[in-house]
Amino acid sequence: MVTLQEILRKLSDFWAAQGCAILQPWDMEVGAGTSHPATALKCLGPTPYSFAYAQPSRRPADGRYTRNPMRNQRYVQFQVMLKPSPENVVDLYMESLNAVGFNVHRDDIRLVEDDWENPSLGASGVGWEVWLNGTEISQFTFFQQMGGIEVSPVCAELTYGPERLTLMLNGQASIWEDLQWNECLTYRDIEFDQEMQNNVFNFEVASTEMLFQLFDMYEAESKRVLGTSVRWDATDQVLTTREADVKESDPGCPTSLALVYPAFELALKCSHAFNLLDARGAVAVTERGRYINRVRALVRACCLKYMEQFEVAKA
Amino acid sequence: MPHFLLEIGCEELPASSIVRANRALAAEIQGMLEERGLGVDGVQLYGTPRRLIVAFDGLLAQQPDREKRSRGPAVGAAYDAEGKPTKALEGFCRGQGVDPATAESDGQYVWVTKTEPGRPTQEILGELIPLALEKVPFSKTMRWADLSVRFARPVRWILAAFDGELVPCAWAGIASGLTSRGHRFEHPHPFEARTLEDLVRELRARMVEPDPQVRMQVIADRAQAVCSGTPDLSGDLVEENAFLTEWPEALEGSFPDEYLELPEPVLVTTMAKHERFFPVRDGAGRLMPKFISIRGGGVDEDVRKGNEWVLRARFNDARFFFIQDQRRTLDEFLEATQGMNFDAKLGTIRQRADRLASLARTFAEVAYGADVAWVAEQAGRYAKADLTTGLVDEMDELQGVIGGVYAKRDGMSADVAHAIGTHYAYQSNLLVDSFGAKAGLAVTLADQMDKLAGFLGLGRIPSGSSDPLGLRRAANILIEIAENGGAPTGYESHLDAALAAYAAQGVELDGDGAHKALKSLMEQRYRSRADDVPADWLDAAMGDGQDLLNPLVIQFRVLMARELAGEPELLSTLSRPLNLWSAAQKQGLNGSEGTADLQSAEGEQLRQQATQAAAGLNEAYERRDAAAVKAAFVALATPIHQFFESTMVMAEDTQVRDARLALLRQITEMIRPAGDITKIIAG
Repeated sequence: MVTLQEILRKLSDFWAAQGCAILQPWDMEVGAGTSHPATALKCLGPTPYSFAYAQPSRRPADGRYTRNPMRNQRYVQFQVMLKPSPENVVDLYMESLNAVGFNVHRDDIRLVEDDWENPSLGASGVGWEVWLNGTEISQFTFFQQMGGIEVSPVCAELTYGPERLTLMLNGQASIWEDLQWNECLTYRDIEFDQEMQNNVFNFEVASTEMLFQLFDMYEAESKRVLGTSVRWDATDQVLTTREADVKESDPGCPTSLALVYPAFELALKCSHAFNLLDARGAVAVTERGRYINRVRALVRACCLKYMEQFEVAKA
Repeated sequence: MPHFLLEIGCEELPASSIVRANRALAAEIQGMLEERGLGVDGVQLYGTPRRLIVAFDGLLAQQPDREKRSRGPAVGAAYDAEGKPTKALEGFCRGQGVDPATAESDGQYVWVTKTEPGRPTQEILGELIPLALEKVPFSKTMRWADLSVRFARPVRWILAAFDGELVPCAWAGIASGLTSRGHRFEHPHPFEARTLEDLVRELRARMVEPDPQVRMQVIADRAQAVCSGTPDLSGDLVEENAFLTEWPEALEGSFPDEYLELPEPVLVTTMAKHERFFPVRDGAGRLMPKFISIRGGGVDEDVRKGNEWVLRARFNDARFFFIQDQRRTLDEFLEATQGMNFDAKLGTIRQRADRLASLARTFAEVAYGADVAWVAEQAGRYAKADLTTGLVDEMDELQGVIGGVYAKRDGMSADVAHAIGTHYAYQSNLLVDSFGAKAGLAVTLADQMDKLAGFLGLGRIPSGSSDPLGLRRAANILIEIAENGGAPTGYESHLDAALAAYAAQGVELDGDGAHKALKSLMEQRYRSRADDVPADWLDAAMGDGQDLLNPLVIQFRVLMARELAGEPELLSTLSRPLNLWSAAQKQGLNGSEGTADLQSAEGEQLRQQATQAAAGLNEAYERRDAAAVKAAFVALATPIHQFFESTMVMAEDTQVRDARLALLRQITEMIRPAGDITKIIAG
């Protein structure tokens, strides 16, 4: 018997050994590990990065009041981001399966075509669903675009569902009935309260009126923040909004000359507000596309600003 | 003769892309070789998810020498008075690298012939491979790492051997070699292969079957061998599995009997579509609690355990929704569609249900009579009710099918249930042999026509490659249904009925716009469906565009064009009255002033024969019998020819002229139902 904690540790250890920095999850509600800025922003630009992190992900509409043995509104995505995609990235991934306790010589592993898209992020990629004995265990994507911008070099994004992997390895059926967090505590001990209460909140209680307002406010704030001009004060080595402080422009600025991260975080807040509204059934089918486009526009604006630092560096 | 072997090793290619990519790669290389004077005798293609293999036989080791003629200076400038080469000619010849003595004159200019020595084939192949790889067509390509090349998935190795020797080349940062690799997990180490024979033998020794046909056969054979019942090998699943595995093995697994309570389509879809397992049936055709899984690696014991685990999880999921759905009737699901928009401007799904009921009734009445009409009306009303069920929310590919299952559960007639169940998953090879099947087809038609009328009436015309509303598919379905006898008189009245149904609900649409847009959509569909039919035949069949909503007429006219295209003389004879009549019309002449007197014996003869032939010709048109129509045309050709040879239509006397024009109109009207045959290019 293996525990969820053990699987998370094994994944982290394996990828740490491959040179990945093991990051902490982003401290906000996100729909998927891709939204963590380590992927969403750092996949852009020329700098090589290797990251891995476990990101709790919120999908309010996927809640099933704990009645579904394998689906919940908050679960973990273990995400690996490798830029540029190494030549042996598929082989590395397969080794990671052995590392967590599968056996590529005994299990049947297939890479099934799947072209991944995240419309809210303006992100798309080409890759596979990885099937292990018929179960989808990973999404394997070569990023082609983020924020509608062609990424170069291309990064590989590998995503695992640790809860499901643990169930599979143990031949267990339900996260709520079978899954052990560690030797003493079950997944249910730790997650049941929040899952049940959030289901009721997501589907029945969340104020749609407030969420619509929040969406508009976060959107406006994201635009305002991104539009706020900031300068690099070379003397004090800080970003500043105060023009008077800056004696001369310094090409050595080590960051984007814009508040990309705060604006991006506000876009993530919009996205979560929308996901809650969607779970509440408050968004008409024909309206959905429009809300998604609004989020995408915010994300794209952030990505474009993020890219400017590299253009400056080039010039 | 030397042999060329190329293997492109990739990370797993999309299963659906392999055959096409393989063919295109071979065709591209062959084409480029032929352009360079290198023919091939035979081509062999093999492909797996991880490799495209192309082999050519019968290549020459060396490209044949080629002669190239180049034009030099004018004769006057090339030779001096004594006939000796001038500086100009010498300079030209030096540039070409030939002796001025070999220059030839054509009286005007001087020409030299230069022999371009053939190059080693191996060298040429090395240049061609990267070019060919750039051109392999995939529906979607990608970039990887820091490279700028595109392919369906990353390329890992290139094996290129000519006559057993390496063909040096490089692409995507990979240098070609003489090594391949076996099964991803069991035989990952490189091994050498210099010919196709070597490669195939060594691959088979390393758990890779390169030949897709063999893999398909293995899958079918093994599936049957391990199966305790009969595996359902229909559809594309054998092929799909063959392109997902390099070394397929079959195993049988089982699931608890209790899941057999789920509707059969749920079980079959979960197994076949979601898991790519073959469902298993007993001697009586009943589903057994078994499945056949194809694995490309691993061992039976572990893979079976995993397969059973995932299937149980999926069935559990479906059962959760199925049990919830049991609490409501189809009527209640139908009422719940009030809260579901079809489109912001086109109203709710519930409103749509009323439109589909009335349209399906009308369409069924036209095509099949009153008996089917009431079945179709019922089915139309409940066709979309299952959109509010939990099962369809979970498995949207079972739209309609679940409605059919629940209709039966609620005690509706078997015909109505069948029609609901079949309306959505329209199949072109459908057997239309029962009330239920006919009603189902009427509902399909109502569904598609309602969608087309609504969206085209709002001006939402598909553009470019984007067709989010599925309107092109809808037009295709109209054509197929007509070909299956579901719309004997075309779709003009259907579209009007669909527009009227919206109007009755107070939805304002642009009716003329919808007619125009549907005609243009249908025209595009006829063309794209008939990519093997010459464009001029289609031009002739579309004619003036008036009959574009009647697929049977278009289809008949294409047959007509096929009959006539091989008859240049007949075509040119028949075209004369058509062309002259249309020219006369352009001048504002319509033959209305004419008397009965043609003042032409040949004219009288033609009129008499045409009048006699009219009834038979109309009957042939009715039967859409292209051969009979052609026979009637052949009979008319001689009198038409004689008339034109003997008689000037545009006579001075306007009464005589109009009489002759009136005869042309009569002839034109007899030919016109065959399409605009003047557009057919004979030959």
